[in-house]
Amino acid sequence: MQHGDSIRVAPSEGEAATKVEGRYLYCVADGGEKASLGPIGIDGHQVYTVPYKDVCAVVHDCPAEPYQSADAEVVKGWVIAHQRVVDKAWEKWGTVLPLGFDTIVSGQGDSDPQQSVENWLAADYQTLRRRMETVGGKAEYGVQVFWQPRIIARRIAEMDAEIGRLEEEIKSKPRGLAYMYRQKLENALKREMEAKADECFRDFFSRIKKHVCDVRVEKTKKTDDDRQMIMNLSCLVDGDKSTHLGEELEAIDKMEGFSVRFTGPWPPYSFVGA
Amino acid sequence: MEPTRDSHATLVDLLDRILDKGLVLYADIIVSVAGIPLIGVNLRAALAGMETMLKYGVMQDWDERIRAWERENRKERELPLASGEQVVLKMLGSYLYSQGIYTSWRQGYLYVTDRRIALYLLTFGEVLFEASLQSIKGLAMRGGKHLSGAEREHLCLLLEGGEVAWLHALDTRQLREAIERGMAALGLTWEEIDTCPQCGEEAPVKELLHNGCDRCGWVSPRVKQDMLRTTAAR
Repeated sequence: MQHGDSIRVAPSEGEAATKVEGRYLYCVADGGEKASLGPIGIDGHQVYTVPYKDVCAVVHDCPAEPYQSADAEVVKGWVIAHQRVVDKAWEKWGTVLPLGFDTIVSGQGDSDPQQSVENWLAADYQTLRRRMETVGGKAEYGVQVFWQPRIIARRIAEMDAEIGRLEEEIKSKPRGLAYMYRQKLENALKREMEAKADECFRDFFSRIKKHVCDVRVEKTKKTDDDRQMIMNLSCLVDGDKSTHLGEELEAIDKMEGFSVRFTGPWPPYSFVGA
Repeated sequence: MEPTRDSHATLVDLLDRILDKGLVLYADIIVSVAGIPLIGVNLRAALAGMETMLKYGVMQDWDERIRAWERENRKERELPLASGEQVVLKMLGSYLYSQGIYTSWRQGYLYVTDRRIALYLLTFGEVLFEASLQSIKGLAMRGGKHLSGAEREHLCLLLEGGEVAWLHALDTRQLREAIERGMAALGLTWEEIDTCPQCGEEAPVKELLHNGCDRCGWVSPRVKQDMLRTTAAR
């Protein structure tokens, strides 16, 4: 490992001092050494560590202003670069506490940003260590369960006596009345769908939680196809236990009308916040 | 089912995490934090193409409701106590959970009460492990690998029926002391335990040395000698 200031990217002579009055933070890693990760940062910046005791902040030098752009491609590029650095650090030190995009620390008063980072690590040291303990050796996985509302609705209509009866009756009603019946039918179906979703959620949730150390229930999202998301979880999983989770998810994925998306491993973004 | 992370489809997952989550710094040295006004909004707007994906699902009310249910369900609760039961020690800790081929350290709060020891999972409001003080036959401290791979001191409990439980706490020694004090208060006795050199099972040291191992029939050289001597005397 290289030592000393040579690995830090000093601002070139011509650049104004204000140019590097900030430090962009990628993550805090479980290692106390001074190290350089090379020019892998956002916009090719040199990434290096600011150590304190046995932890270090992974940073690059930047102006004390947020990265902003109206260009989606540019933003995507930044986000991917951010992730790449966190991944590298994760690989190198085993345990990382990732920061969200665009967390920039500035100097305070006369002290330089480097000092600010060190002060922060010192002040939050206990908390950081404790968080590392909780996420050490674990990874985050995204689990999203979808269903095909049409298939589910059809099955409910077959099973539910009241809905079946309404469907039958509609056929024999004049148009105006049929409209009212259809509304009634839709409401009944909606109620049943929600009850079914409740049931599925609880069932899947209790099956999944057996294989995870912790879980966050996220908002469900709209999809761009005819599926509907009924469950969106972030799961914290012990190192090599993701196969158990995978097996459980496969069973759900095989159920008719259901599908599962399983992404990861991600650094534990969802489990390091407040 | 294998997890994926390298396709275009997972970009949304990544954005969700990087833009809305991660370690948060509450310090006035922060220039900006994604997700909080300005920058978050700006970046979101830039990703307009993804906006549809980022919107709520259709059953919005249901979604809110089920999330509320889950939040309610995981609220930090205390270990349910029997009437008159007193908590002596409550400490962050973990228990080596195993079921079939699945083993892992599960974290929660270790409770020592005047009658039992229990590991309570805050996350799911579940008692993962419990044992009455009466059922503890022996204790031992052991070094071993923990969560992060670091060497740690573990507390090994030998329970009635030969069951063995492994625990680790923020301060494992303090945990052991609390258990021993509790047992002493109940007039219970316990023994130092050790690992049988042959089969690796845990057993009280005295029993191992004097009677040999129950499970594999190992006997100490000394017992062998004694046996030879008694046989010779006859």
